[in-house]
Amino acid sequence: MAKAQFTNGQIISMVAVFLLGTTILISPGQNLGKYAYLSILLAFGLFLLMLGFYYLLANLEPKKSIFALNEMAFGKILGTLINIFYLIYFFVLTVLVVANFVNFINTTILIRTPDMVTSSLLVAVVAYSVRAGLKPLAELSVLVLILTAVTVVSVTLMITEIFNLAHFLPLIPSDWNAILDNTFTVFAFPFGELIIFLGFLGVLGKPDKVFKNVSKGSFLALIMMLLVVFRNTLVLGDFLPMTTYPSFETARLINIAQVITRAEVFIALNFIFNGFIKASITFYSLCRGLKETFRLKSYKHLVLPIGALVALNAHLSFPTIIQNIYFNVEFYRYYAIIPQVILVLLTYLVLLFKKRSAAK
Amino acid sequence: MRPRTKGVSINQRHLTSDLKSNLEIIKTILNESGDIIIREFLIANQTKAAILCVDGLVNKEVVQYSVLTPLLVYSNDGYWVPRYRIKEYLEKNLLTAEDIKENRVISSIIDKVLAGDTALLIDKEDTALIISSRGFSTRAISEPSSEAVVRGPRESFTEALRINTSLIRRKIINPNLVFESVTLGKVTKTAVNIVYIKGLAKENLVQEVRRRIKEIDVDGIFDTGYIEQLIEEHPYSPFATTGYTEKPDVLAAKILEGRVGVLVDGSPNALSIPLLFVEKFQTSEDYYSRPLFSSFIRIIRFISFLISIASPAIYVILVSFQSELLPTQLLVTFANAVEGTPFPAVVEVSIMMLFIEILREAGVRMPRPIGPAVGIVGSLVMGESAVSSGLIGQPLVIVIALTAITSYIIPTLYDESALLRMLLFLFSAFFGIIGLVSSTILVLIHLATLQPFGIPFMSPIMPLEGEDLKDTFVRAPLWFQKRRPKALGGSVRMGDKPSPPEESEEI
Repeated sequence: MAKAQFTNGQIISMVAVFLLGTTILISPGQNLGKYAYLSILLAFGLFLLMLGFYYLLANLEPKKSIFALNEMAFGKILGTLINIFYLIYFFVLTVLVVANFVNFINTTILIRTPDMVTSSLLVAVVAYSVRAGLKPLAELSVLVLILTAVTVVSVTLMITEIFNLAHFLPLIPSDWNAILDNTFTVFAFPFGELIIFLGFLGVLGKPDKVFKNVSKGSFLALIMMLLVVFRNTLVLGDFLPMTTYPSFETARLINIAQVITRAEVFIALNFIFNGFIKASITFYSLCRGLKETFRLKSYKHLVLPIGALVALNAHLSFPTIIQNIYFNVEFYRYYAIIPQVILVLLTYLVLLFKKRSAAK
Repeated sequence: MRPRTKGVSINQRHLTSDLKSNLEIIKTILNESGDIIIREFLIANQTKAAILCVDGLVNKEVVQYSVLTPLLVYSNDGYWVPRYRIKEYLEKNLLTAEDIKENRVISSIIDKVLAGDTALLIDKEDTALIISSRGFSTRAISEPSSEAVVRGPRESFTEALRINTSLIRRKIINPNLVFESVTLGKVTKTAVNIVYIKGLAKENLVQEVRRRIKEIDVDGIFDTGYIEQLIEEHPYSPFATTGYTEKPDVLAAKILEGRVGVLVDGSPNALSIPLLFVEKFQTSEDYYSRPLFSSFIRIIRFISFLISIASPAIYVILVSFQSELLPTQLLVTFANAVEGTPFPAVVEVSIMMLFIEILREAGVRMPRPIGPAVGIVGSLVMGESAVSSGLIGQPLVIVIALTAITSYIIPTLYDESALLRMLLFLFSAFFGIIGLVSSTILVLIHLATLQPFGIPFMSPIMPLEGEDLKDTFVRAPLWFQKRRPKALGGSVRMGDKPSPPEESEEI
């Protein structure tokens, strides 16, 4: 069979859907209310900077994943240790995405279902798709991106009648510290999570082509994210920081001639599709990382046991939505900054130094 | 019974130059079967000869007037022919049959005779003449029974391979149209033809089909269905990845798009390889009628498909999980109708879904006069009385009826949609809307992994091909479809003309 080829559209959609994954529902910088867009823009600026570094790193050794690069940079033992740290991060990220899923479902849709049941179902679906490989996932993500765009735009159009521009006043924020603080959070979640893609970059194609599409995809995600944030602010105003799922609450207010009401279920559907793609991509990267680090022949037999661990951990680590959000907003960023920024920079510098000295 | 091995060893032999022993060997191999005709006679009163044919498979007029009459009557008034030239004389001057070939291998001669040809064996010659005389009775070309059309050709394939190939050949008059003959079935020796247009079908597709068909090693092939199951690469998928049709124009159109067809002697259905998902929604009439209405019908078909697979699932979700999705008025009506029914929605729907499948199976296999009666008993009596006795709610009857009707809209998707309906329903019954979405994702991922013969099954939806969407959810005017489907090569189908009519000047 011919080797899988990823088209530009597929890479763009994977990146965009990945970034939008949970943000469709949980607005980044939500506790800032109307100023959330500022921290999103700042975080995106930082992210573009990091993307540049990722590009430089990937260009040093095209076709190699972050795991292989770590080993090249730090030698076998230290490299493996760093890889294990990355794997733990990937694992936690997968757990976090699944937990977001499960907490959302258990607070809004299936209230009386135990969370282990929901997470098992979702992880089973994710495991099935990861076993099928990255290609079907990429093809599906194109459809999901279209679905997301249609949902975001149509929900926005349907709710325009209760927009209130005054919700943006005052335009200039007084507390810049909070905004900078949140920029850090927003950078770590969702933008910095794109580090996941470094786990299987070689599969997608040449770095030049991939990064062109990755940046296109992230711009697309940024635009949609801003649209969602603006819409929620225009509708909810000062209530926004108080809600758990602002988009959900916004869609709840839709009422067109008593016929189209309670459209929040479409937001929920959309979120499940997006979250599914995101969880599958992180899970895929995790499995590939395990395969590379421990030099296995195939990752397919790992999918089910690791999946069971993910489902169990989602239940044990985040039994309630409160704990999930608390971790997300307060602690996740300190932990995530290490693999997302520090280790990547370190790897890059060491590799660069090694190359330079080898050239001499 | 003679030992089998003996027959096989005789099979490999060539003819000898002794007529008597040749006939003995042939009789032994054919087990002196009752339908074999062996007629011995003298050519020009001097040379012993015999013809060998199978009663019922040969055209008796050909044997009578093109073989026996010249040999028995006209050979007598010919000039004297030397012994060693008699075969050549017969072939060149005497026999009036249209196609004569020489053959020496006994097994090959017998295969030809069993297929309907006549063999002429001559004494002192170690070569037989095979005279083409096939003429067995077949069903006449009739109207298609399962693919009825309002517009377009009305002929359908029959059971005879040569008639079927001629139907295709008449539609595509092109030297590049190739019928590759393969004989399949160790016992039945069925003739199978692989049909494609050289240079138009992707070379690796043709090779792959050829390879898989040649690798088939079974005792018998009676229908294209055997071949379909033996060459498909996703046997456990609910989705069929090879298509079948009984209309020559449909097969011709598919071949013209770059597909490969397979015809089997004895089967009125032709296979087309590969089958893409969207093809199941296309009918030949879409292309014969005007585009606007065809597109409308296409959309109706897609909607029907969604309704037929998802409506029981959505019903269960609405009744048991997300009742708040219904507008208030509808909810009240609903609650009134469902109130007092003894079973939970899940049980009700399962019973009714099972019931409708049973009803269909009963209706299909019944002789024609009884069929409608089954329908009436099933739908009217049982459906009506189930509601009036308060066993199930009225809305459910509507939902089930809708499911049944929509599932008949696309007959080619019936098998798939029945299974998908069960899957979606089970997931939704346990997990509500989350189950519906999860099962949808499962199905979509499964569909994306299907690659029959290396061609993505879901093309042009997954992977998305903007160009090919012109013939997917809508059927764009013919002049838009300048290229063949990308998955099948995407070569140019038509030039710049015909083009859309020029708009008249604005006044």
